Amino acid sequence: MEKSIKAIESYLSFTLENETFAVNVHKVLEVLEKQHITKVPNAPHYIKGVINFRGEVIPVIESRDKFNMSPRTSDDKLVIIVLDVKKATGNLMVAAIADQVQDVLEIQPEEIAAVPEMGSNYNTEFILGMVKADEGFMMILDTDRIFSEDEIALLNSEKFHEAEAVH
Amino acid sequence: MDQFRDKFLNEAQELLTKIENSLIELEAHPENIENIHEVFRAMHTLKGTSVMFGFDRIGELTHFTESIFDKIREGETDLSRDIVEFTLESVDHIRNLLKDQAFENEANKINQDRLLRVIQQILKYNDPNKGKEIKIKKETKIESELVRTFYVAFEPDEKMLDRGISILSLFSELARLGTYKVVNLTSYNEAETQREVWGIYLATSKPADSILDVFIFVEENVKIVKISESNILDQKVFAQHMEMIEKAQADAVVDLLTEKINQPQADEIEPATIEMIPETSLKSKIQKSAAALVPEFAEKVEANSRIQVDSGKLDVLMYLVSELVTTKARLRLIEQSRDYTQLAAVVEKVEDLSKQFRDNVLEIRLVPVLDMLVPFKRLIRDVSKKLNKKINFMTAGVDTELDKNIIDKLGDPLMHLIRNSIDHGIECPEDRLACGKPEEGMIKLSSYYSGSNVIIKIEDDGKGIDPEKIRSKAIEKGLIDEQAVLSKRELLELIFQPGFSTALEVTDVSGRGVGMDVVKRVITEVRGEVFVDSEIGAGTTIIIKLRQTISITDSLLVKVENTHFLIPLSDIHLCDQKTRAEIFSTNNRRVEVSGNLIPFIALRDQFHTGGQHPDKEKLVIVQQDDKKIALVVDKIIGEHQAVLKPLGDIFKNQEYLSGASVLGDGNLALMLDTNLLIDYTVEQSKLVS
Repeated sequence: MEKSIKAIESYLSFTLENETFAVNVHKVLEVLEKQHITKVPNAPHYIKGVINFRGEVIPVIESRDKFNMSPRTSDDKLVIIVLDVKKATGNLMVAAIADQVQDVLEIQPEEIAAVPEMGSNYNTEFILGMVKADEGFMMILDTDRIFSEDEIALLNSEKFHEAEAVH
Repeated sequence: MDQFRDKFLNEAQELLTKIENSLIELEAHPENIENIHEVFRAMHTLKGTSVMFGFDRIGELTHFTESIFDKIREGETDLSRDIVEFTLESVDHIRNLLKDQAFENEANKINQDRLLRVIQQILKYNDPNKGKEIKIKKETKIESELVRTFYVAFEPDEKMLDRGISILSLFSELARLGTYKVVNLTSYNEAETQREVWGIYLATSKPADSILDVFIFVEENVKIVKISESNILDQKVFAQHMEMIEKAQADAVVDLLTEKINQPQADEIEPATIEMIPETSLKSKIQKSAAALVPEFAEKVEANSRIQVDSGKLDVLMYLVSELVTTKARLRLIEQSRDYTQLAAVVEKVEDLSKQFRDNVLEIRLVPVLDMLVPFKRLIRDVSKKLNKKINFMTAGVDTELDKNIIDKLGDPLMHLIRNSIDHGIECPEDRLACGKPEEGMIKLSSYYSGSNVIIKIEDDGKGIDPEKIRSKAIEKGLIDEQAVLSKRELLELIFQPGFSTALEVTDVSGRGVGMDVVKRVITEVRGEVFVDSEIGAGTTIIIKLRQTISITDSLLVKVENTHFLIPLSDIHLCDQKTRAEIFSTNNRRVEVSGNLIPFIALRDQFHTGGQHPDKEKLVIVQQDDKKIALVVDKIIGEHQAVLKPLGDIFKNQEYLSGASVLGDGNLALMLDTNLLIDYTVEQSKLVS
């Protein structure tokens, strides 16, 4: 009995376009309302800038751009989810823009199903698993993975520019 | 314990630096006896503390080195160059041992044995009369068998416990000296805070110094008094006395305390002084000395005008100041949004106080340039010997102060510059004489304030740098075009380019041309600048321009579209206003400011902030040496004390921003790296024209 209680984990679900995603609540530091994001010049397109969170400067990532979804228009609702991301060099705070926060759910490990192949629109490697929701499926995100991927992307773009400069 | 050990390691490093410094002074002025004392004292302290921490090998080495200097001190031995040389070697060796007590590195073991052999030779060689040796030994033996009795008043306090000092280990150290008896004189004062006072009676054959050694880390908590020239612990009188103290202790101590309160001017005994007391007054003196603790500890605060603080604590303080500065900006914003005259006065006061607070905390972090000179002296001594050059190292204005963080970073680049001066700058004595220069070369390190900056200058009177040699080398390395027209200054600046080296042959003293670009990079990291000037045959001067601190930057807040930017005030020459047409109508990317045409950069275009240029643009003219550019912005908002936070790894390929700062409304402003922007804009404008 005790074991199963321990195994239940809480997840925060949120929407992006018509899809529902979830992240483990242990990873969520805070959910912020829409606020002024300071643009940082010449940053990758999915990084919208930086915000001040508890006195620290943290980058803001547009999840829609990150997941190759349609770009956000100025009328669209948004929330900012501040995540605690594990990195080789220690923990790091990253803010992710989502459309709307839905709920906090308890999910039993056995409810989580493996990820099916979904075509090239999605980067399935960021998804830990799928859970059946009221209407359709909810995707559980591997937040640590998303960020480490970002770093690789950045390094690559640097190399890319260097290569350009040579030609 | 680790914390305690760290403290020891720090102290050991300080002592070694002290020894090094005294030795170098001694080499120049052997008659200065104070330096010999200094070496002796430092060795002695090092011996005591290193043994306490299990660094027995350092203890062994320092023990013998100390005896050498003791002999010199007593005039039994002359200070020779060999001894100085040997002691400097020992200092290096001890530094290695601090990292490798267990001799994991074989070389350290070999070195230890070698140094110990050298010591034996020095001690033997310098003994003028070997026959005497036995006699002296005998005498010391007799003396050492003499057991004296000391009284140690010991007041452990909480701070001591926090520092990780184990009372138990102190007592086990004492047990090694002789036999002792302890009375607990702990008392309670009116506030009911417990004051631990321990009276220790120690019978030992060792001198008072060795007792002090035991308490070396808690020196301020003990007082040592010699109460008898013999061992009184075994005597009946003493046993009776102890009994009496134990019985009367509670009452007596309370009485003594009240007595103290009533007569504040009690006889005081300086800490750590040894006094001769006739045995007859033993009883009264014991009581008195215990009592004397009370006022003395109270006055300790006054006596210690300097304290050592862990730099981590200063970092915390600095963080708090930065938070305060940020919060103050928020308060100011609230005040401005409301019409509240009463609040305005308070905000002004808070602003004033936080500014004073900030300046004071920054000041605590400032250390004089002098603090980093010892390794340079050592370097000059060693390298000039190796290269057979004669060098006079001069300093000026070394009491100029800089933020400790900056000083710590500057060590390596300055070391490199000085090494360059010795290796490539100063000629060998024969060449110097042939040029009509004095045989001894000069290297001078001077520092001074210049406005809000601190300048560090390194000059030598060596052969100088030939700009033409730089030109051909730069062409060879592909750094410049063969046809490039460069001023002398521009040529000289090329030495800071990565991969450039002026040394025609690579020596083991100076590196392989990886140096100067690293020097420049480190100096840029602490937001400083470096320049070079040189005359062939007359010498080279390197000028380093630094900010006194980089923790908080006074800056100007400007706005472009929706983005706030910060520009360091110290870089700003003036502000101006122009119409859009005046700026952008000419196509040579220059704008006229007070009669001069200077290149400009529109932040809107450079940083793609979007939006339209307003009809009236604001110009902020920033300068670096003789280079001036204009930054085109929408709005100038006002002064801001910027507490810089890094943008984080994700933006590490971001070139023209040096960080971000939180504004009063919680939003962020981006700090411009003006130096890089200026260089970039000047380069761009050259391309156009």
